[in-house]
Amino acid sequence: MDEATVVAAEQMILTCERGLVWPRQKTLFIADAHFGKGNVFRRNGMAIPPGTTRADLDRLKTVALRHRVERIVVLGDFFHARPEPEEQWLKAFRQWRSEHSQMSVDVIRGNHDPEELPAALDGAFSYISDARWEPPFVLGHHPQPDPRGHVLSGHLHPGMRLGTAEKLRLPVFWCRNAVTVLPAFGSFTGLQLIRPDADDRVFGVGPCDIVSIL
Amino acid sequence: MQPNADQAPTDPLRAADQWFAARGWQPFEFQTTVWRHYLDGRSGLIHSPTGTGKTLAAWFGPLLEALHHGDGVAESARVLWITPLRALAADTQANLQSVLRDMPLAWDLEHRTGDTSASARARQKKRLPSALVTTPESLSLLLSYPDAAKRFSQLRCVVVDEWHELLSTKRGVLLELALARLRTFSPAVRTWGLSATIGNTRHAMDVLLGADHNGELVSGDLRTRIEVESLRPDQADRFPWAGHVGVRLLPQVMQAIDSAGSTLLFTNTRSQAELWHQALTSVAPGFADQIALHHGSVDREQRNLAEAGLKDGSLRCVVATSSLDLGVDFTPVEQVIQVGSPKGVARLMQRAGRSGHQPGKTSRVLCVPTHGMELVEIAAARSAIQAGRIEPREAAVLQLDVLSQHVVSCALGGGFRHDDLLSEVRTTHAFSRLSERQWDWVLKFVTHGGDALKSYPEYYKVVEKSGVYRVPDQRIGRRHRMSIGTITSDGALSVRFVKGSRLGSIEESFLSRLKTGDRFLFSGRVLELVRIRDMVAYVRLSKGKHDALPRWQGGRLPLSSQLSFSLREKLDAASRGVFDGPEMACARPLLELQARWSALPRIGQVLVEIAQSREGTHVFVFPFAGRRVHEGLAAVLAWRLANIAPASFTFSINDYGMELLSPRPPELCEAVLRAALTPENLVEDILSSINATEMARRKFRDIARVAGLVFQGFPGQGKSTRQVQASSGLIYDVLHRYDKDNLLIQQAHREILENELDTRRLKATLERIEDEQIVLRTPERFTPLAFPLWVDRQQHQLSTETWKDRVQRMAQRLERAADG
Repeated sequence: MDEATVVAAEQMILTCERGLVWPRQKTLFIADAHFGKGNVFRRNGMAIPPGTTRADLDRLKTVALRHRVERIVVLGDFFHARPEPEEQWLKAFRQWRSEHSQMSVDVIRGNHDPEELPAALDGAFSYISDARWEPPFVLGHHPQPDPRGHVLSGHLHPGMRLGTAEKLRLPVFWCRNAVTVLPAFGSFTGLQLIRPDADDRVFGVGPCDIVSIL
Repeated sequence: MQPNADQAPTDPLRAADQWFAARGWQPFEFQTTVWRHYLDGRSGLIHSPTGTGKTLAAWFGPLLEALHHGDGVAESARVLWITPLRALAADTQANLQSVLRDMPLAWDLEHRTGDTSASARARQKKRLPSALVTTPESLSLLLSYPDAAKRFSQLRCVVVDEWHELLSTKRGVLLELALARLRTFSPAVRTWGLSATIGNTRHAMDVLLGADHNGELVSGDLRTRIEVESLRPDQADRFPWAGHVGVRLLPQVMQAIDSAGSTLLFTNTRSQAELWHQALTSVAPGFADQIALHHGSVDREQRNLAEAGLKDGSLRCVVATSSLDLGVDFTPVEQVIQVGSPKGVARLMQRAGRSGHQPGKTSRVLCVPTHGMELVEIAAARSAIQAGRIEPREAAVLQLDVLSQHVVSCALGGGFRHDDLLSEVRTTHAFSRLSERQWDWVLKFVTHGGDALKSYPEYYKVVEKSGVYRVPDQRIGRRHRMSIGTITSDGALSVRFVKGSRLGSIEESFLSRLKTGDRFLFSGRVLELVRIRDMVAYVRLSKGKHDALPRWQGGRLPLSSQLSFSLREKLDAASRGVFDGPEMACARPLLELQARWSALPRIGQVLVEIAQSREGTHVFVFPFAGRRVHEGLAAVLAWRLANIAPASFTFSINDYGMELLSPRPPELCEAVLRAALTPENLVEDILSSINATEMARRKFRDIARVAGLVFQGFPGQGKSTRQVQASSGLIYDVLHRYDKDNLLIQQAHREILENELDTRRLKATLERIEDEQIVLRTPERFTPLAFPLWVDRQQHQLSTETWKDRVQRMAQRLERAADG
């Protein structure tokens, strides 16, 4: 089940697909998709099976349709690295885009993203190089506080370990006073364990549920 | 060079005899035997305790041959000397050099390990020295250079030192494959293994020499006597209820150290070594600075100092773990002390062999029990040594991660043809039963990515062109070479002072649980954590007491089958009133108390105790099968009992048995226990009772690294390598989800069942219990056998201070009960 919460006095919804929905603006935020990461590994001689991008796009579709959003904002690291022109996921993404052409997509450039939008994705979305102010939020990649407003960001791939025997590792939404960090969206992404402060709120993302941890 | 009468004496062995005679020595018979076999073109295995002259037995073979055939100037590599630890390479080289120096041969001798300088590597890339000391990993690396076939075509001899250490590991498998390759390059090459005494030396030789060998097994066992002695508490009554009691014997240990010129004090785990080092230095009368610490996580530099100090006599005592079990001609010490359970017969013999190091002399080991039952273990170890009941070591088979790595190395090292490499690989013991399907999978894995049906886009690691498999991409080749090898240090963080100097490394899993300011004992010091950054834990010296002690993974060896059988014999004898030897006499009050309150299990019996406390019902089962078996068995037992009637259990285990605790367990009678202890459906029940997926995920760390699925970047390298870094757990998840038939995933599960859970020994244990009588007792309080298990569980539940208080209170209560 998705979980409703309030961030910077706005009603928001945390979803199990690792996206954050802003119902008032019909907007879905995701961060750190790292599309094409498997390709980079395979090009370097590491046998990672294909299929992660397909699964990610399906997940993106599920959450976008369920919440009837009109816009998707990617908070950085859409790419894992500059893609080669013939990479298969590019085609899959263009296909996905044409099936959902009624939605607009904004991608804020993260540290993994190339400076110029690769030609293969020309016109697929608007490619934004700086953090963008959309009161009460500042949409960016890096979780740095911003005087203009509450920052929605990614970059960290935040996760936590639950249980004494280190049994369970979960991606989390990390809601701090001035900054909210989204979990990494891509299936082929790891976790960085965080150490939250006492007044932070942390929500774990389970397979079908959001669990409030702190 | 033409041999003439002067240079080639009629007896090729004469040069060796002369060399020995010049030192006033005489070769041992087994050494002469090895030389003759070698000159006859035979391979073989020499087994004997440490320090009996195996090195000379193996080294003179190729030297005598070169002298005899006038091979004075070797243009390419003649001899490879494989050592399991790169730290030993320099010592070995010096050892071999001391003989070579006296021979009229213009041979050069070098070493090649991870520590070898760049200039030496460059030189060796042009031309290999006549004799090279190296490790299995560095050998694999050498085989991955394009001209490998040519470089090794004149190879005469490979000596594998400490083969027993490599035998049951992935590194051993890697070496088997490398040896098969060398035999292809130089069909006349002879292989000689050097091994400590183990229970199955013939198997060890078969594995080393591969298919169709005509090897000779040579025993260098000069009947070195091993004497096992013990320190015993003066107060013979119920001294030892549970752990940490060894420190009670500290004054006596101190006395023993004081009375000997040099002492090696072995402990079983690194944490124990830290504790003992701290205890000894704090009570040593005036020579605290002559006591050093040596274990696998302590920085290399500091370990070298400890070794050198023991050699030159500036140190009185080194506290060590198995990190000092190996070592070429490590200078003998006057005294060896073993703290805690010997765990295995071969292990204790090996450690004892560190003292009195001269062939034919007596080796002594002084054992220090840390709790009462260890007195019995010491007596059992002595009996097992006398009976020659020594543990066998089984070789690992069908490890496809190692094979995948080797296949890529071969593709880099000049390329290979499909059928040729398959038949070569099948000459090894590890892959003699490699199926067509497995081989195909490995080939597909390295060429297409692993899926039998479709190939992965842009994945071109190994490429086949007109029948020859090669690695066309230089970058991939370089990366493969960088990650060759199977030794894995599990996510260890480097530990440094803020001011700079390095102290060693500690597992991430321990450090990540500490907070800034926490104090812990490491490297013989109390340290305070300052911060963790970039895989480095910065610390400063702390004055206070430590609150934590690092726990290292894999530190807890199980009691071996051989030793536990001897132990059960001792208990059997005790149950009949026989208490032979000083340890049994000392343990007698404790054992009699066990008999009075419950029973002493005999051979043919398994003891089960059921006791009640405020916590609930405690079920203690004592199969004496070692902690690893008990771990799996406890989980299975809990699962099966909960299936009879829903109940939740917590459990703890040790080498003797296990405790299952439940607030409301099912009614237990013999029939229920029988059903719960059946060997039927064992594997299914293990898999249902244990989170095998989580274990496999952790196990996959090694496999992924060996098979080239993860690449460990190097410090200081830029973004290009960071982009291809992912944790093995993440890769496991992705493979598990998107490539279910991946044989490496299956291998991880197999390794869990075979190694971590030791299903074979677990099954054998249950089959044994099936034929045994179940002795069911309901003692009123915890018995001497049960108490340590209770303590162990408390230890995991409570913080240190409360734990100590509770254990002491409970021990006092039990002692009063025993008095009354």
